[in-house]
Amino acid sequence: MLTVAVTDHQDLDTGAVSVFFDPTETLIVLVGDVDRVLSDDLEHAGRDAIDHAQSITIDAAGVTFMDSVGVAFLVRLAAGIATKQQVVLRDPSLSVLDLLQITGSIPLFRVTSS
Amino acid sequence: MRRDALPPEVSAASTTPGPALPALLDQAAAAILLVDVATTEVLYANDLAQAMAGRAALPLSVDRWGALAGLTDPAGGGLAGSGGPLSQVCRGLPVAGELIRREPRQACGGAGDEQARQTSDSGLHVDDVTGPLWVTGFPLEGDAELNGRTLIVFLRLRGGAGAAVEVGSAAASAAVRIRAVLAMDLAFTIADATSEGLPLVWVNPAFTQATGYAFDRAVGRSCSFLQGPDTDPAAVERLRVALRAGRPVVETLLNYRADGTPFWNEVAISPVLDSAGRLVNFVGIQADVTARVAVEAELAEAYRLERAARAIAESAMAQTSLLADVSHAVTRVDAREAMPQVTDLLAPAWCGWAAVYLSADAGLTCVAVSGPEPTTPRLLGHRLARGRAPQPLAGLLDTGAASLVVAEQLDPLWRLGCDAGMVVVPLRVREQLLGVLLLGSPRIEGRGTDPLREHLLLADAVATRVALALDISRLYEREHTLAQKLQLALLPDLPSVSGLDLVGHYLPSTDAASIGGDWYEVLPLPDGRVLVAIGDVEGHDIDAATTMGRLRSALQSYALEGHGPAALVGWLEQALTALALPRLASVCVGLLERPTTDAPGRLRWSAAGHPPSLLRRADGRVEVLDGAQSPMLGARTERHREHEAVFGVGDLLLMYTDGLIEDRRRSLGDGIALLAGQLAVADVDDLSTLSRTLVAAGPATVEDDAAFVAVRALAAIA
Repeated sequence: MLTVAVTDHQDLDTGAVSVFFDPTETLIVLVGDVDRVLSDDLEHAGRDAIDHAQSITIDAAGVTFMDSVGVAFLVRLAAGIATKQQVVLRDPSLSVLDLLQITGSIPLFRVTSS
Repeated sequence: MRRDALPPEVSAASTTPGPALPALLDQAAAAILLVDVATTEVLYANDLAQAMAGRAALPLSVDRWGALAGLTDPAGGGLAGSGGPLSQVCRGLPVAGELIRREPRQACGGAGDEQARQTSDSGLHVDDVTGPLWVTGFPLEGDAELNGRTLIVFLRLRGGAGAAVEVGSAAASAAVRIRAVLAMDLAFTIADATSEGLPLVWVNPAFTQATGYAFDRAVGRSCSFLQGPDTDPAAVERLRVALRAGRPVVETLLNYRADGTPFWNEVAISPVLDSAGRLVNFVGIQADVTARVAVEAELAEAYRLERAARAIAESAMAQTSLLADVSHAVTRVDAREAMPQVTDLLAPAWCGWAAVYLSADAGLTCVAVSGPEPTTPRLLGHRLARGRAPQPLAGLLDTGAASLVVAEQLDPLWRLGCDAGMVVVPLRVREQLLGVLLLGSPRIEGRGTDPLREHLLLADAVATRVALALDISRLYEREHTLAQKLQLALLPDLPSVSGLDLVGHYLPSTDAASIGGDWYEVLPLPDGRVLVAIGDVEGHDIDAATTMGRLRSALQSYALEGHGPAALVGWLEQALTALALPRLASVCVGLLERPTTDAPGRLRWSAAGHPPSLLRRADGRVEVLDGAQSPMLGARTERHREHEAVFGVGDLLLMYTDGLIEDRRRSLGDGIALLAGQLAVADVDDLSTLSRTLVAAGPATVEDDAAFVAVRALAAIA
């Protein structure tokens, strides 16, 4: 498995984004606060994932806080991949679901729980 | 000094070598005996020799003296009765530089350790005279009193080899040869201590060789005859004082050979006492150390150069450190605030006082002064009108380089603490004068070959860093101001619409660097409806601001064509794609039909990724308009929905961006609920009051920018 650790995980005061490339699927793991502090990392990770052009799963179980920057990242992923595919959002917290609901972004994702 | 009389190697040493220079002859290590050849008894001994043998009473047989002093052959065997150097000397044979050893701990058993450890007059501990010693002996002839006697000198020659080299090794045998030659080259003299003028009574051949004076020409004369015009009188005086006191002494002084050529002579003179402790002779040992003096002069010069190089290196390090500190101090959003730190770094370390004037309003104002009272002028706040600064300052400000002004040329204003003048350093970037740095009484002494030039270069380097930082701050501020102006220019002056009260407000982020993409729009349409919209473009830069402007223009155009809210959002989605704008954006578009005397008003809206608008009813109830929401613009959503609500007289619509309720301690949903609660109890009769209430209730520090627009139906229109 090819791994791209985009954020330094030791610095969990902020958040972190990691991208894992499997042969069939790209997994993006979000932890901590996913906000504007993470802007550059998110942009980087998003571009890598979209360039890889395969189905994307986002593990959001570890997200403690998300703002509009986080929403924009998720929406960009959803808009970036092929139209017939759907981004899978795994184990989002209630606050993340709430945020996606309020901003009308829920239809872009297939929400699953493990 | 008559330098022309000196050979080159002597000229190299400009002064007599001082006491700090190492001596070839370790004076205190010269133990001297006078022995009667017939009886082989020690008649006289100098102080060190007496101490070595535990101060046993003289006369004493040489063998006994040797045993008490702990002398052995190099291998540690006894000296007495052997064919060793002492026996040889006692048989009247000359001995030149024979090696023996001294082990004082095995010696003078009868005398006791306490006695053996005593210190000689010369201050040297006798235990220091251990290990290899060099014994030299001369049968004395020529003087009636000396005939039949022999001079024995034990030397611990300098160089460390005497103590460090273990006898028997290859290195030791080489050292032995060198020492032997050296010992043979030593000139010995004996002077009569009982006669006026201390006449010489004996000299050895090495003395003749070294000085050019044959035995006959030397004996009978005072030993001062070697002195000449450039001999240091102070060194001679030190010799005389020591001899008068009967103390051993070592001096290096400039002497003259018989042919008049000078040489550096290291002289060690020891008083020699008889058995009753009376002073009988002075034994002198001399060495021509001219070559060494020259070498030492070179060493001293090399040392001086090394120290100078070190001083330059240290100075360079201090300069580098100053520049790093200045750079660090001025690296901030507003470099002007760092000017007191800059002057603190400069004074008093590099100058008496330091001041910075910065350009402001067609003049220069002093913003920082550092330096100790009372020699620092009180310049803070002082203004220099541009173009009317006193000379020579005005002229220097135009030149752009650091310059030194002497005290006499200075305006009295700056003369305080400027005895050593003042360095004027303009702070310039791209031909523009941003200010001036003044250094009162610069410390420019003693660094490098051209201290003034070096100091001015350093001042220029400091000024360059300060000026660049000031310039960056200025550009930064200008860019931020520009961005804010752009933002405000893109936001509408709210129109006056009959029957409606309107307020719109934009809050830039607290972080001065960032520019927002938040916008709002109110536009009365030809069909009587009123467009009310708000949006937020992702990102915080000029691109975000321009994207916002283009979206707003597109919205205005589409709205004027009469489309409904969902269609308008759809058009904006397409516009974002068509214009190849890489940003995501949220938007909420409302179309308002004002209440008329015939019908209640109506609001139709559609949103994309935007927090829901709030509708405050006339009775204070607040509704969250969370329907008709689709994903953000840029997600390529194909169908957008729209909802509608009644909008009656007294009702108030509030649209906002998420920056207004941003708080990482709570969710967006909670933030919306909180805002709704505030709106329910707010005073809405005056919308400017509402605006202030919302700003005050918002986050104290706005990480994101924020905007809101509120519309209230005041009355039904006809």
